[in-house]
Amino acid sequence: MNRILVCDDDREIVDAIEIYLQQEGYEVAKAYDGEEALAELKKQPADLLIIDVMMPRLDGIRATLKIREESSIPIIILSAKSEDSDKILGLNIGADDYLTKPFNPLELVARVKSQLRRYTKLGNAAESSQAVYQVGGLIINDDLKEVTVDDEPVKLTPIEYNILLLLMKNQGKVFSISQIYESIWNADAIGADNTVAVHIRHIREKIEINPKEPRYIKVVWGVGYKIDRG
Amino acid sequence: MENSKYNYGFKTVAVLLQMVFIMVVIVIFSLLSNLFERSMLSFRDLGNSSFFRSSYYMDTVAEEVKDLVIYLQLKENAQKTELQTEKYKKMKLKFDNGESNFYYWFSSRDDVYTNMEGATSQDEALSYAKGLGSYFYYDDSTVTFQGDFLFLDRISNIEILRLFGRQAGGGSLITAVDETLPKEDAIKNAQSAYDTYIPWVKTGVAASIVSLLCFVLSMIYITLATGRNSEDDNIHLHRIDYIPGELLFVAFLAFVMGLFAFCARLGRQSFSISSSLILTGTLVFLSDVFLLTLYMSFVRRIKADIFVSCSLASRSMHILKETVRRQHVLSWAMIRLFICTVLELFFIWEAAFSRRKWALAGSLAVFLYLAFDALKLANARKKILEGVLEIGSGKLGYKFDTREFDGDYKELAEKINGIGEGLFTAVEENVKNERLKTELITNVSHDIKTPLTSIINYIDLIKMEKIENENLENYVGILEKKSQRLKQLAEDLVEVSQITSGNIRLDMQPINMVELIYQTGGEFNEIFEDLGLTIVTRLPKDPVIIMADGNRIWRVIQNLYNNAAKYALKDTRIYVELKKTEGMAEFSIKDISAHEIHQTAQDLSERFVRGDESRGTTEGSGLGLSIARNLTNLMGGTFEIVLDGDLFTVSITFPLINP
Repeated sequence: MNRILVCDDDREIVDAIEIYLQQEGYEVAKAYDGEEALAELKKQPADLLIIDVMMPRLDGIRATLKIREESSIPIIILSAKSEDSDKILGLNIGADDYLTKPFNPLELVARVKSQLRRYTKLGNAAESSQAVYQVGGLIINDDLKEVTVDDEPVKLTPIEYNILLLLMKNQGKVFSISQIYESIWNADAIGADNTVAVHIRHIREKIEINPKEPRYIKVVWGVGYKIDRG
Repeated sequence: MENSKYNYGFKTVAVLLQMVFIMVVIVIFSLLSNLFERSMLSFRDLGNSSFFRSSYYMDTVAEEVKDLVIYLQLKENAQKTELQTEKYKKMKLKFDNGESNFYYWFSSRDDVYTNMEGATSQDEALSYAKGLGSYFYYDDSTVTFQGDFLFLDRISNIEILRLFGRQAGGGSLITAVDETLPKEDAIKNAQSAYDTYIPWVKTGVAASIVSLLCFVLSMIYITLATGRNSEDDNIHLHRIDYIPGELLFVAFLAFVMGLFAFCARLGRQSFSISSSLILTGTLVFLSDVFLLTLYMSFVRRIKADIFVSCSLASRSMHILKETVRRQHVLSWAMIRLFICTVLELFFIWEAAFSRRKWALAGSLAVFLYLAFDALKLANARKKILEGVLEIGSGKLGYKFDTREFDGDYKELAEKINGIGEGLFTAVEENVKNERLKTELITNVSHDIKTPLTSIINYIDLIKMEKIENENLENYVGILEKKSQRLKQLAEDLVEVSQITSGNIRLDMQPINMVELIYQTGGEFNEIFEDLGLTIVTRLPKDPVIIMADGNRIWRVIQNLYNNAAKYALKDTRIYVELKKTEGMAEFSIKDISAHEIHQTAQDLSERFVRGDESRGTTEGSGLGLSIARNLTNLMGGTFEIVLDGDLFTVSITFPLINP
C-alpha cells in the first residue's frame, strides 16, 4: 500500500483528497503547511507528495526545493495559480506534475497513479529491443503492436497506432496534417481535412489523463503535432 | 423691432441719398465756380438782383472803357498802321454811330471828342452823364476820379492817365451808360444774358444749400447706423475694418492727391460746361464711394472701440510690449541683435560714404556672425523639433542633452525634458496601476479558486453518496453546473485582465491558418455533431501563413467555435471560411443564432457582456468574445462582429506573410 502525503492549508481540500485516495486504497497522511510536510516526511517517508503552493510558514515551492535536496519522491503540485509561468516554475524546481485548482478528482487520482507507477518502476529499464519506444509512462512496442500508458494497456485502431508510432519514432519533430496523412495513407494530401485531427484527438483521449492538457501528444497550433523527447 | 431703424433698406437709401445730394452740391458748386471763372458772377451778385450792381456789368463796362481809351488814343495818333486804322474804324463805328448805350466826353487841351449829342461843355456833359445812370468822371487838372462805376479796380488807372500823359494838364474824361439800354449793344447783350442765368444761379444756390443740409442729415444717419443692424445691439465689423487705420489713411491721402493731380491736369484743358459737369459728376461719384467707405469704416472702428487697437502703431506697441514682457528670455538675443545692427549700420555708413575698405571687412564679419548665429539657432530649433517629435511618437523617455544648447534653447530643452519626464512618470504610473489591477484580479481569482475547489470536490462527493431524494439530485446537479461556471469565470477573468492590460508575452511564429482550422475542426467535430450542427469549411488549398502566437490564435479560434457551439440554432450549418484577399488572410465563422440577439455587435465583444443575456442559457463566462477580440488585436489582427438578423458572423483578418 502506497503512502501519500497531502499538504494544503485548506483542511477541507485535504479531507476531500483523502477520501478520493482512500477509495483507491492509498494510505493518506496530512499536513497543513510546508513545515508540517517536511516534519511528516522526516517522521515517516511517503511514496508521493501532493502539495499546494500558497501556504503559510513555508510555501509549496520552497518545501519542494528542500525535499528535492534529499529525496526523489514524486511530487504533484496543486495550485490555484494557472498561468503557464507558474507551471513552468513548479516543474523546473523538481515537481513531477502540476495540477490547477479547481481540479477534477478523477484526474488527480489518475495522475497519482501514473506518478506512482513510474516511481516504483524507476530503474526497471525498458526491454532493449529496437522496436520499443518510450516517452515518460507511454511505451509503444512495435514488435508486439502494443501500447501501454503507465503499464496500462491501451487499445488503438490501426490508423491511430500508426500515427502514434510515427510521432514516437520521431520524437521532438513536428508533423503537419498533410505529412501525417501522406505517410499513413500513402496518398496525396489534396483532400486533407479534419480526419487526421480527429484521429489525434481520439489517440489523446485514450492515452492522456486530461486530453485538454496532453502530456504526450502536443498540438503545435497552426503547424502540426509532435511528441516531445522523453 | 427696436432697431428696425437700422435695417438694410434704410441704410441703402441713406447711402444713395447722400450720394445724390453730394453730387448735386458739387455739381452746382462746380457750375458756379465755372461762372466765377468766366467772370460772369461774383459773391456780391447773389445779394442783388440788379444787373447794374453786378460785377458782370462792371466787367462789361470796363471792357468798353478799355476800348474807348484805345479809340481815343488812336484818334490822337496821326500816323496809324493799317491794322490800327482798321481797329480805329471799328471803334468809331462802335462808339460814334449812335448805336451804343455807352457815352463818353473827352476833352484835352485842344480837342473835345464826344458822342453825347448836345453837350457842349464839360459841365453839361457831366450833368448829362449823371442823368443817364452810371457814370465815370476823371478830371486831369485835379487828377481826381469820380463816379459810380465800380470798375475802377478792374482797369488800370494808368491807361486812363496815359491818355492824358502827353498833355501839360487839363482835360477830362466822362463816360456814362444809359441804364435804360435803348440800343442793342454789348451791354444790352450782357444784361439779357445776366437776367437769364441769375434766377438759375439763385435756384441752384438754394438747391445746393438744401442738398447740403440733406447730405449732412444723411451722413448723420449713416454715422449712427453703420455697424449696426436690425437684429441685435452689437457692432458688426467688416473685413475692411481690420485693415490697419494707417494704411487706409495712406490710401485716403493717395486718393486725394491723385484726384488733385488729375484735376490739375484737366484744368489745363478747357471743356464746355456740360462735359465738365459730366466729368465732375463722375469724379464725385467715385470719390464719394471711396471716401464714404473709409468714413464708415472709421466710424465703425470708433464704435467698436478698435480704432486704436487696429492701428499699426498699436500693433507695433503690442509686439514691443510683449517683447519687453518676455525680456528676461529674449534679452541677450535682443541685445546681441541690437549691437550687430548698430555695428552693421556703422560699417555700411563708413563703407558707403567714407569709402573705407576696413568697413567693408567689418560689415562682412558682422554679416557672417549673424549668419552663423542664425544657422546655430536653426540647428538648435531642428534638434528641439526632432526631440519633440520623438516624444510625440511615444518615446517618452527621450532626453535632450542640454549641453548641446545655449541661451533660450537651453532653457527650452530643459523645459521639454521636464515635460517629457512628467509624461513618462504619468504613463509609468498608469502602467503600474494597470498592472496592480491585473494583479488584484489575479489574486482575487486565486482566492476564489481555493474555496471553489472544495465546493466542486464536495459536490462530487455528495454525488457519490446514494441520493434517494429526486429533488436533492436536481439541486446537486444545479450546484455542480453553477460551480463549473464559476470556475470558468475565475479562469477567464484572469486571462481577460492580463490580455487587456497587455500583460502577456506573445511568442509570434509563422502560423498556417489552414492547418489550424483543420486542427480545430478535429477538436470540435464531435461536439458539433452531438449538437446536430454541421460545419461547412471552405479553405484554400495552399497554406495561408500569418504571424501569430500559436497558443493564442488557437484560443481565439477555439472561443469562436465554442461560441458557435453554445449559441447556434440546432440542426443548422456553421460556415467557416478562410480567404486570401489583398495581402490579408480573412477568417470568418457564421452561425444562425438560436435566440434573438438584443445587443449590438460592439457590446458583444466588450468585457462582461454576454451574447446570451436574453437567450436564457447560462453557459460561459461572457468573456469569450472579449478575449478573442483582445488577443486578435494584440497579435496585430482585426476582429469584427456582424449581426444580420439571426446571422451571426465573426471575421478576423491578419496580414499575410510570405512563407
